[in-house]
Amino acid sequence: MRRTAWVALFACLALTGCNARTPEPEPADYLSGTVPIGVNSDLPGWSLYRNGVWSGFDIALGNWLAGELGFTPQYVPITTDERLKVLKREDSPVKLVISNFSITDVRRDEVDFAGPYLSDAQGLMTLTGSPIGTPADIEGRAVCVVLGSTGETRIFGAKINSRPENTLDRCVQRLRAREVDAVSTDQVILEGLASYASDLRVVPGMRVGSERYGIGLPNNRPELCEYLSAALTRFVDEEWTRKFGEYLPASVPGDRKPNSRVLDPCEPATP
Amino acid sequence: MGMLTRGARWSVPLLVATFALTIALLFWGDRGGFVADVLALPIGVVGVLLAAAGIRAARPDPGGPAPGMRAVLTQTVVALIVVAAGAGAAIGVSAWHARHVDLTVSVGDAVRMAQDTDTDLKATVDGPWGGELVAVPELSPTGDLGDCVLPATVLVRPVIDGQPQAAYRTRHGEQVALPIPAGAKRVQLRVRVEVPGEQKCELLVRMSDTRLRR
Repeated sequence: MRRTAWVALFACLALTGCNARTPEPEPADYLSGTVPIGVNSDLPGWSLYRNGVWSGFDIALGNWLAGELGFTPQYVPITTDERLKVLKREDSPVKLVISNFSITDVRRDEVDFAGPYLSDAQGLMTLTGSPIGTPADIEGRAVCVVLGSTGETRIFGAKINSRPENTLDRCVQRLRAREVDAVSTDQVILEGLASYASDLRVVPGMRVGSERYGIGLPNNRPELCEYLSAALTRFVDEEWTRKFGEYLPASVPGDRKPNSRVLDPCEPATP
Repeated sequence: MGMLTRGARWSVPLLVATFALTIALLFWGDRGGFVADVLALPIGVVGVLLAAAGIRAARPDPGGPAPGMRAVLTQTVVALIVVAAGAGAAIGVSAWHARHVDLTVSVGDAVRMAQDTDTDLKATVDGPWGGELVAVPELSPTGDLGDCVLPATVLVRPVIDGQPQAAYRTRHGEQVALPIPAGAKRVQLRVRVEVPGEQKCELLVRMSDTRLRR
């Protein structure tokens, strides 16, 4: 009779099928011990590595999460273009990406996001004294954008000579060498750069589109997203204004602070 | 009936009952699928156990007595009762189905919508209105930029015979249920997509799984 029962059990499993999808790791386990976080390493005000010290708003967010959730952050420099790629790798060298990473519907097909933790628009930066002041002024001009950024896709709807580079640092070098006429990316990043360099200026009034920064996660991690979103809500309520003022003193918080009550819903796992 | 083997006396009513249940589940639509899912496990277990018992019973039992006329008569009566019950269930479910099963509602193909603007979708149904119109909005992006689909709130306001009713809020992939009074002649869905921030989102909006629950 015992044999019959085993046959019955086995047959039932075969009949009803098994849900073989690998379960998502427990978020508290995933974010424990040393947690590698992908960040930019050359953005003043956001994430800058100088003399062995990390600083900036994104770093402050990473440190705050570490204290709140109980892990040790290990910052791993990645380029803008690498943000998606590292999160998609099976053997990813990072567990999270906090790197001015704009949430988009298209990117959500490949990774998950928790956020937004900041809203912004695309802006334009030139050398001080440049005559560029309106979108019409950049028609036909050479504008440097960062590979893999949303700025690469959207540049004011103008007909320009787009000059992509791997890093923003490289774009600024080309601007200073007068190889390009302007640099375009998120305005709050440009303001961070310009605040540390007197020869650079952000063109006032030139804002386009909407960027909403999120924490990048590997795909299909709804529980991790909920876990981080709950923490982000507390960050926005308790720390956001102070950290923004501390690391981005030249920028106005304005409508860049998200409403902590309406962060994006987390994407359900896809079968 | 006396000519039937012991196996046939069981299998015939079982087959008839299974057939009747299958017909009933088909008529039940989505609910039938759910009931079938629930029944799959116990039926699977019973089926395998019966098969095992059958193999065991098929072994020769030289010492056992042959079934008498009384036993054959009892089995025949049980079989007839099972057949009658199965047929009755099928007829009952069919009658229930005719009155209560969901009707398919059509609201057309996907429509391109800009955020914060109203779009009216005409709804048609295969029968009289009256009940709850359920629908699942499915949003998809039209461009490479923008965080639009997940944070979007979809407002759906039924417009009954030209009269706008209360709006219902839902999201991408979440079902909304709208009350539609019996006797309504014309039904439209006034759909608006609201997205946080000044993103100027444009989305393709498709109302899927649209049904009238009665």
